[in-house]
Amino acid sequence: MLYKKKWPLLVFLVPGILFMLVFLYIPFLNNIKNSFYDMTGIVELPGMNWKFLGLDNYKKMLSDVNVRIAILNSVKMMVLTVVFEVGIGFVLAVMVSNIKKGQQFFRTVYFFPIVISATAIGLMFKLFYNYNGGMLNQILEAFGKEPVNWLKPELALLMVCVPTLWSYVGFYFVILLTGLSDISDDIYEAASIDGCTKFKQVFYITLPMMKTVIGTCVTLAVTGALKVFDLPWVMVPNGAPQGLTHFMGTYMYQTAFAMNNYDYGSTIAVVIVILGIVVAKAVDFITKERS
Amino acid sequence: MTAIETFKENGIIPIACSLNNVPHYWVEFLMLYAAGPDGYTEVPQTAPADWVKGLETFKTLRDLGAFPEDTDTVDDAYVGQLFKDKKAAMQLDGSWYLGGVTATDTTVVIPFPGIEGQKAEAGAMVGGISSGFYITKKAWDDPDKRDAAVKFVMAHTNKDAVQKYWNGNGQAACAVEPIDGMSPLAISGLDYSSAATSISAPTDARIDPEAYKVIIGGIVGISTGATSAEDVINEALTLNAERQAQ
Repeated sequence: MLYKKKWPLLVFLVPGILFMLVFLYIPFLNNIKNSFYDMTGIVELPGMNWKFLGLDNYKKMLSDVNVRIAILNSVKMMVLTVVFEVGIGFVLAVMVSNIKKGQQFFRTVYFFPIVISATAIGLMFKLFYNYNGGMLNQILEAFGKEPVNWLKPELALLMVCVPTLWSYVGFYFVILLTGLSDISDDIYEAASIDGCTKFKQVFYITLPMMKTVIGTCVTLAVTGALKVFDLPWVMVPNGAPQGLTHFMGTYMYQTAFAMNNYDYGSTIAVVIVILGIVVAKAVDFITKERS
Repeated sequence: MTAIETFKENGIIPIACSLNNVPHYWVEFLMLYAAGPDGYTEVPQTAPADWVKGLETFKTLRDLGAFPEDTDTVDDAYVGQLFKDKKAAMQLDGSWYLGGVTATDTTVVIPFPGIEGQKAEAGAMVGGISSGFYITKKAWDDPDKRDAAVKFVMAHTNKDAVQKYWNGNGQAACAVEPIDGMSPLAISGLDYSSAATSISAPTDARIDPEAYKVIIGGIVGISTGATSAEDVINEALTLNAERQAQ
C-alpha cells in the first residue's frame, strides 16, 4: 500500500537531496564558475570584481609540469591499486574463504588497517622513513649500513605508494570475501568431482562468477586513486621532494590552500572530476564488454 | 662557508632548515643582506639583481651540503628538533624560538653571518613590532575619554612597562635592561637585538600574499637549480603588480 502513494517517498528523499544540493552540487557548479575567473580571495566580497580569465587556467594546465607529474602519478596509482589492492585482496579472500576455522580472525586482522586514520598511518610511515633516527635507518645502522634517504627523488613515489596501498587492501578483501560467499559450494563440489583442481577452480569458477564484484572493486579503486590525498599529503606535503610525488588531489590542495591560487585550484578540481567520470566509464565499459 | 665545511666534516648538519616547509627566514635574510635595507624594502616591477643573488645563495648552500639530507621532505618542527638534539648546528628563526631551547648555557644567538659581496651592514635584521596598543577613534573623539586613553597607552608603552612585558623573552620595543636570572642564551639574544644596525620589515609585509607564496614555493626548485631565482621573483612581482592594480 505504501508504494501506491508516492508522496511518502518524497518526504524521505527530499531532505537528502536538498542537503546534497546545498553542500555538494551548488558548490561544485560554483567551483566550475570560479575556474573562469581570477579569484583574488576565497569569496567575492562586495566591491570586488574578479577579472574574467576565460579558458586561461585550462590552457595553463596544458603547460604545467606539475599537472603532468600529478596525472602520471595518479595513473600509476590507479594501476597499482588494481594490481595490489584488488589483486591481493582477491588472493586473500580466496584463501580465507577456503579455511573453516579462523575466518573471522582473518577478516578482522586484514580489515583492521581501514579503521586506522590515514593521517595516523601517514605520520607513522613518515617516522619510519626519517633520515635521522627513523625506524628503517635505525635497523640499517644496527647492521652497520649507511642510512638511506627513503624519500629521495628516486624512491619517494614508491615509499608513498606502499602505505597507501597497504592501508586499503582490507577494504577490497572484505568486499570480495562477501562476493565469494555468494557462490554456491555445490558448484565447487561438482567441479571437484569432475577432477578440477582448486587452482583451476579459481580461474574457471571463481573469477567468472565474481566479474561484477571485481568490476565494482576496480571502479572504486581507480576512482579512489584519482582522489587520494590524506596519506600522501601527510607524508610528503607539496609533492615533496621537488614536486615529484604530486597526485591530482595533493596538487589541487597545494595550489588552492598553500599557494592561495584558488581559481587554478578550482580548475584542477574540475579536471579531477572529469577524469574520474571518464575513468569510471572506461572501467565500466571494459568490465561489461567481457561479461 | 668555513663553518659549514667544519660542521659537515664532523658529522653535524650545518643548517637546520626545511626548504619545503619554512624557508621564510632564510629567504628574508638572504635578500636583505644581498640588497641592503633600501633595496630589500622596495617593491620593484622586475626582479632586481640583488634579490636574485640573495635567493641563488640557496643553491650555493645546498651544494655545500649545508641543509639536512631530507630537507625537501621534512617539516620545520623536525629540523627544529634536530637543532635542539644537537644534530644540527645553526638555526635561523624568530625570537620566540629561544623559549623552546633547553640548552641555554651552550647555545648562543649570533648575528646573521652575511654573504659575499653583501650590501647590508653587519648586524642588519629582519624584524619589527607588528602588534601594540591602539586608541579607538571613538575614544579619541570623546573629550571625557581621550586623556584616560592616552594615559593608559603611555602607561603600557613606557620603558618600565616594556621591561615588564618583555620579561626576557623575544625582542623588546625599546632598549631594556637584562633581568636577574637571564640565561646566557637570553642575554646573547638581548645583545644581538640591541646591537642591530637596521631593522627591516619582511617582504610578506609589502607584497601580495599570493605573490609571496610564489617565492616560498619556488625555493626548493631554486636550491636544486631546477628553477631560476629570476623567474620565480619575476613571476611573484608580476602577480603582485596585477593584484595592486585591481
